[in-house]
Amino acid sequence: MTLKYPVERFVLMDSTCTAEFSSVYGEGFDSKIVGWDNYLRENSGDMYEKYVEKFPTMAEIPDVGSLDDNTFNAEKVIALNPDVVIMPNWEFMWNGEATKEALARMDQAGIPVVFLDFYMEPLENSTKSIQLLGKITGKEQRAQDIVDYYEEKVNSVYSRLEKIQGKKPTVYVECAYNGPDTYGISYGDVAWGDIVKKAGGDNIAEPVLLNKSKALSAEYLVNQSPDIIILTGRNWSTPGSLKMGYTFTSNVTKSTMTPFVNRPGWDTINAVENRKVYGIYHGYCSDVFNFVALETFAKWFYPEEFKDVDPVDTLKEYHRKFMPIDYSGTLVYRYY
Amino acid sequence: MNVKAKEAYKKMTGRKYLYLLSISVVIFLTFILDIMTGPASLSASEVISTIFFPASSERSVQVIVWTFRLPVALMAIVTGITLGLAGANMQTILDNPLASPYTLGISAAAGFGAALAIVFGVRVLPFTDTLFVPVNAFVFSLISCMAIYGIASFKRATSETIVLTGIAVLFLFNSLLALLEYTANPEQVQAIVFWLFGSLTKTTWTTLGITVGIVLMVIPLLAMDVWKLTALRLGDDKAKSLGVNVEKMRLKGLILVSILTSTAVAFVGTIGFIGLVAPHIARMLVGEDHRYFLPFSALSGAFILSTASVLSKAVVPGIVFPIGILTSLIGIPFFVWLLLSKKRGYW
Repeated sequence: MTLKYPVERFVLMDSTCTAEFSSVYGEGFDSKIVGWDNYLRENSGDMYEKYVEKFPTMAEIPDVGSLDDNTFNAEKVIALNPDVVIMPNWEFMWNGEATKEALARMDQAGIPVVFLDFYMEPLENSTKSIQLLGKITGKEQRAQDIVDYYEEKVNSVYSRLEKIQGKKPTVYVECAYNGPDTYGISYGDVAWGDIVKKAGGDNIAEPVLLNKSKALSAEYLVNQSPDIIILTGRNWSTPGSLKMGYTFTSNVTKSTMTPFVNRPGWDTINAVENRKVYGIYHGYCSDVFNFVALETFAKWFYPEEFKDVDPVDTLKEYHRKFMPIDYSGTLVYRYY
Repeated sequence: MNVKAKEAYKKMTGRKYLYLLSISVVIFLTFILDIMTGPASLSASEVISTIFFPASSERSVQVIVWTFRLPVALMAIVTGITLGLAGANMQTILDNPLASPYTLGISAAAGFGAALAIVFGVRVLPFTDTLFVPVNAFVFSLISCMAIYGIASFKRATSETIVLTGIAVLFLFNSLLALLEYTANPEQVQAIVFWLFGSLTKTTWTTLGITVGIVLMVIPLLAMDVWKLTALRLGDDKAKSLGVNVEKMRLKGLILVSILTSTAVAFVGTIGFIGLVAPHIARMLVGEDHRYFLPFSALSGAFILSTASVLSKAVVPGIVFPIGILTSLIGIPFFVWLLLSKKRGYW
């Protein structure tokens, strides 16, 4: 299969990679997306809103369905006549059969498919994915700038961590999509759990969850009494869920986080006693911003050693340098 | 009445009381075991001293026993009682061994209400905040009960029409639920699925209090009717000839069942099996006399759920394991054994 170069017409499967695509492509990116799924709109509505506000025509990009729920419409993709379809690697993990079938269809139609990975091995493959995007868009220099920036930040975190001796702080991460009454999933050695580990934390979920994501019991959490609690938020509609993202003020984040902190028994947990409860934007687990997540976690775990690091500044800088939309809202949050 | 018959009756009731007593003792034991098990292991003496003298134990043990384990252990028993009673009453008024809150779609309706809250944040009553999801579930299960009765009473409410209407309601809410899951994002689907599995771990003293309050309100209302309910099991015509207003009993029964089920389902999610099987266990052991049948159904339910609660913690320690998955797994072998060991049919 050959790729027409430079590629002009893109279909983004997993439209949440719009952040990466637009970072790499730069000016004019919005007119190059000829089709996508509804992921960005459904799962990162706050970010979608910011894009559409600035580039109103993006609201009219056709929805081609998704492999997740069997709505992927191969015929529609072919009709849009794209030069390439960009897919996330995790489709293989979650929808293996459907992905293979879609690939076969695309193959028959002569449409090349390119896979990116910001999820399965986030801190290893993010830069490779960015470089690949650079290659197919013909924006190799921009891609290299992003990769350099990314690597500088990540390596700076790693080199500081190397010098730190002693006991690692114990950490609990919960996806706060449920209200405070029902515990949301925590992560074993995957996704957020992977970032916790790389940022020098000791993930309390790993021994029981291994590489799965499931809810821990309240009692296990209180019994483990972790040093740090991190809740992940988004613009979920679930009542009581933690609200974070491009369109939420820190007051909203604070008021939705309070009921979590007041959960029964939490007053006996080290993290609460030592006032170390934090929030982070859930989307940052599976996109290029995972370097900010790494930096943020490292700062929360070792505040002394990372005193001069400010993740919000990093975020603002990245948006200024590479993103078409401005930094806004609440993406990392310290409760106390 | 001759002396022999009196003796025989005494012996029979004596056996029934013995059954009631034994199951109560067993439930007490599973209850203590339930409080002992968990990520932090506690001894029986620690448990008992923390329950009776909370001030004398360590703060962490206090929190574990009083905040996490006691409400859950009690909720297991109360929910079991609730579902057992609801199932027993339902089978009697509908004169159908297959009737249960689950098979008549009440649980499905509750699931739909909960999913509606999870996916769209739609609240059906304005004043609730922390009890948002359960209240939605409650309202929808009430709606389903009323719909079943409403449709069935269009003509004359025979038990067959009610059962069939219930099945229609079950399918209706299941497809509505599937529709919601289809539009939900992955996190929400996970939340809905977990809710549907049923779990006791969300229990707080507040939700426990509400459930206990409602059960205590319903029990006297059921107790009033034990004779009428017993008569109903002889068939509509015989009950009518004994002076029972069958239609009125059916309406009252449906309302009570819906209140019981809705409460249980709202707080712990959909737990199937108990409402269906607890009454059968009771019927096999103590018979149709509702003076024994109703309490024994309630206690069988409590026994199954309390045992499931202990086991759910042993599956993977530290993780919330949905109890609804276990209730039928542990209850079915016992049920089948009872079925096979009894010689005559019990319906």
